[in-house]
Amino acid sequence: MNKAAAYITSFLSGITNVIFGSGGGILAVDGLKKLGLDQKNAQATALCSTLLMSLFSTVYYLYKGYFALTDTLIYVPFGIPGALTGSFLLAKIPDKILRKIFALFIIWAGLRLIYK
Amino acid sequence: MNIAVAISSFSSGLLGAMGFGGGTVLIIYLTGFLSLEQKQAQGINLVFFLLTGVFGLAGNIRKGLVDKSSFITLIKFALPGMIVGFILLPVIPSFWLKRLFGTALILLGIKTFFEKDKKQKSNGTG
Repeated sequence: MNKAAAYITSFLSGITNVIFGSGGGILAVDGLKKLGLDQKNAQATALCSTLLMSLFSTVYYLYKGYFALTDTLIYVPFGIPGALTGSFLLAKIPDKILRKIFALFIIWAGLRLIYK
Repeated sequence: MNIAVAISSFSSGLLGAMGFGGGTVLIIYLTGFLSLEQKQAQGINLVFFLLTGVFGLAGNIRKGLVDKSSFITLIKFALPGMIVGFILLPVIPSFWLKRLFGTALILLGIKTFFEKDKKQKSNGTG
């Protein structure tokens, strides 16, 4: 039952956004595809959703004292051009290629986390 | 050191704007190279994502790629999940946090790689 699977995946995306501070986006993409979106729309909608979730998570992390806002300053100047490039690319690349790249990336990321 | 900051930040912004959860790259750099605590790295990544992701968002909305009703559905089910996360996070040790996440990523990556093409609505070649 795809709807139920979509709801569970969305629920998990919320948990992971808080617990991992990322990765909620990957589950969000998966959940949105189960709701019927294609890869590109799922990724764009996932971005929108995870931004909102990350806002709540950020407040929570600051409240718990896990980090300070000033810790983040050095990374932002490079991240913004990256984000602009990504937004431009998302509309240009075919779904199938997007999915393969995405899949390989997260397998790599997972292996790094386990073995590092 | 600065090149590594530039590359990891740029790639994270790029991947994040494409909805890929590019924060993984940044977190791996922060914990792997700078040896920051997992939760601190995650917090930094959250803010980084907020500030860089909005650029991707603006483009996506302009191109009509965001589906409003699916967005609402997802948030509706994600919020209870977040509350569970708020309760669980303080009691999970960093060691297990990293390995749990890594395992989940690998499983999802394998599944995504072998997924069949979804039947497209008339969306062109993408």
